[in-house]
Amino acid sequence: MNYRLVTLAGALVLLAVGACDSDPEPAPTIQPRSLPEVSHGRARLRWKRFRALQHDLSRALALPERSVCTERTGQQCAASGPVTLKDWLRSENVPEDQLDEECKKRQGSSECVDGIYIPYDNPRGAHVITLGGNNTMLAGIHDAIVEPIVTTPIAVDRVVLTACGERAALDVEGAPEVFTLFDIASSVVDASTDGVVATIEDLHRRLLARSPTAAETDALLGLLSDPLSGEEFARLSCFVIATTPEFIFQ
Amino acid sequence: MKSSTRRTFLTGMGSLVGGLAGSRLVGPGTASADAANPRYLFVLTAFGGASIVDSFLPVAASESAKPGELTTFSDDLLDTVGGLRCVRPLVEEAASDPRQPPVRYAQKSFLDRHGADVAVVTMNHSSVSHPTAQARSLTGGGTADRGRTILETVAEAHGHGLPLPVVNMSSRGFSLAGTDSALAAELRQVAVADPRSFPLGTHGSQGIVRPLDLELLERARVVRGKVEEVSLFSARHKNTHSLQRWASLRERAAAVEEADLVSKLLLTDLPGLPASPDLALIRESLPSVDYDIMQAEAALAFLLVKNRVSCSVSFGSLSLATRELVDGVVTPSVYPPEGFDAAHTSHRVAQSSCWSRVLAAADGLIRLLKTTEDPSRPETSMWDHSLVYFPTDFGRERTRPLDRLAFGTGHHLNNGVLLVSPLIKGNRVYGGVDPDTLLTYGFDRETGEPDKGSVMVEEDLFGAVAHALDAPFPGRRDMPALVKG
Repeated sequence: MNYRLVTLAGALVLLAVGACDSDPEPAPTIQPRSLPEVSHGRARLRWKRFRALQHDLSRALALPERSVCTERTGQQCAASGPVTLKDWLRSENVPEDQLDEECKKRQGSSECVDGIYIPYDNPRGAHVITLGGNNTMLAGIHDAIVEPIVTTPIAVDRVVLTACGERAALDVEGAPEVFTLFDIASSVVDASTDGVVATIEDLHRRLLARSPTAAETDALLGLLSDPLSGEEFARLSCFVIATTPEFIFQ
Repeated sequence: MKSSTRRTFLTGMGSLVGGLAGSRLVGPGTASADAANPRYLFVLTAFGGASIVDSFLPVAASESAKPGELTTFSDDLLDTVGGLRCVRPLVEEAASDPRQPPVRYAQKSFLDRHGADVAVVTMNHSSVSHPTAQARSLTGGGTADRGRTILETVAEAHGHGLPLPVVNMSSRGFSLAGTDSALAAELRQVAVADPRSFPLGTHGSQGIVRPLDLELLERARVVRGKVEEVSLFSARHKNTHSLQRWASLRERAAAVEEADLVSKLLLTDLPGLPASPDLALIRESLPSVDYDIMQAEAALAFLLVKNRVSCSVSFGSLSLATRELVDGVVTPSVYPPEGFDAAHTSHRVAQSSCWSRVLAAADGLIRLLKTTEDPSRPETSMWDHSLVYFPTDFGRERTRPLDRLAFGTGHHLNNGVLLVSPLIKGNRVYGGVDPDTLLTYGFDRETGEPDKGSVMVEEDLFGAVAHALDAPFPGRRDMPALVKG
């Protein structure tokens, strides 16, 4: 503390002396700074955990958050929010097809009215732990992992592949909402198909908030080294962009 | 040397030979030409304070000077099997109140089947705070091996080269990883919240709702690599810890995917995805595996080790409401919330019920291990190389209102734990219990003789488990009295 006071006093004295100088030095010119090079191993990017991952996919692909990724078990890949009675029953190992029946039993009613059972925000889902969440209420896991683990890249691929597949399928089955720049319903797409490059550009803007470089576009066209269906191209191009580190880290 | 042996072993897995004709072992029919020294650790976490004097170190009322004041048992409630003693299931006390949890499995059954491998080891815990005590029970007080958990220490010795050496399915303080930042990344634990969905997370596309041809996924990943090569973001951040770690994780993740774990570990049939081919075998020993999370965890623990995915697995579900197969009928069961800690309000029944549930899962797991040929050591069972450790938070108070059967108890540092393994000298109590206080005392670590002036602590148990599983580390506290050979 004393050292700081002395230093501050000294600085003030020097400032005063400088102010009385009849021939002051010209003000230094501010030099433009180049962006610092991030080269040492201790620098860290921020890992996009399940909430951010799911939210960003939801926004980019115009999917409700609940629809981003669901497993065949009926569980969402990752979710958060108050715990409903059915969430609780799932945690007790009640199979999906018996949830209604068990819910009626618990409520002593002829109808199941699923609603908030525990009114606290609680992460849950098939891959929520590996995607950086905890699950206090349903699994007793209070602490989230500090950084990604070996199953995290797998879970990220799985979530993104599911979300991209869902969006592509919806756009094939109904009026396209995201893949509007080429004919997603076409059975064969190659690099010369109208709208393919525009789709790559659009996906970059949706997912990474920037346009692709020419090199990135060329690399992505590698997906069409062999022709794909429109739906496959949509899904895979979405998958590639949304599983690059630029999307997963910030 | 060790990794070389492991690689040799893994390579050998491809040319494994058939099983033992006429053997009782129901193994995968596999053997390694250059078998390593496999050791498997199963940690069954007894959440909430599993009391040793309410299970395998009980005191009969006739032995105590204060039977009505202490948590003793009437003589007719105790059984003796070999050199061990246990408490009969308190079925009548549990049935006296419909709010009480069920008691279905007898401690005696466990001793009848596995008593020769059971060691009751007295000890003192170091905390009566649940999460702190739980974590310390796995880290040996926090300092036994550089802050590592016993799972990590065993994996350091026996887990290199396995896809997921340490898998932790436990809760709260038992779910925590160790604190040694120098631990190799490949040995860091994978925490699992749900044993049923976990296998799906071992592959990027297998079993997803809208299937994708694997060849197309591979094509996309190759293209992704090329995109990353020209990405300004990747170029700018390539030297960061985050991206270097991510690249390393992706490489290891590829090995996990190649191991085809979905088909080996899945505990239930899903559309287009059949359950593990071992599920029928598992149901014989863990009949409630399809309904009860704890038994599902035990099943996954078995499959992880049997399929050479892991060598250290922890489990111990906290789920309270479940369903169990009772005499062939699926029966709802509600176990106490917070496990053994329900002793706060109903000591005897809570202890009896939770021991029943934990031991039923352990029994099923051990029977599976006993009847399954070890994948890397022909003509031996997996059990020959295994140890089951039952850590718990702490013990319970020993006093009760005079002669009351229904009462609550608080936390107590003094206790004891179970170790079950053919690698230790079982059928024995290490230490003892004072019948007039119900407090346990220690033993001589060289001879195993009871020593009322000594007490074992978490670090001693950590050392004993590591010693039994041939997992060396600096400063290990060996326990020759307990460990065979």
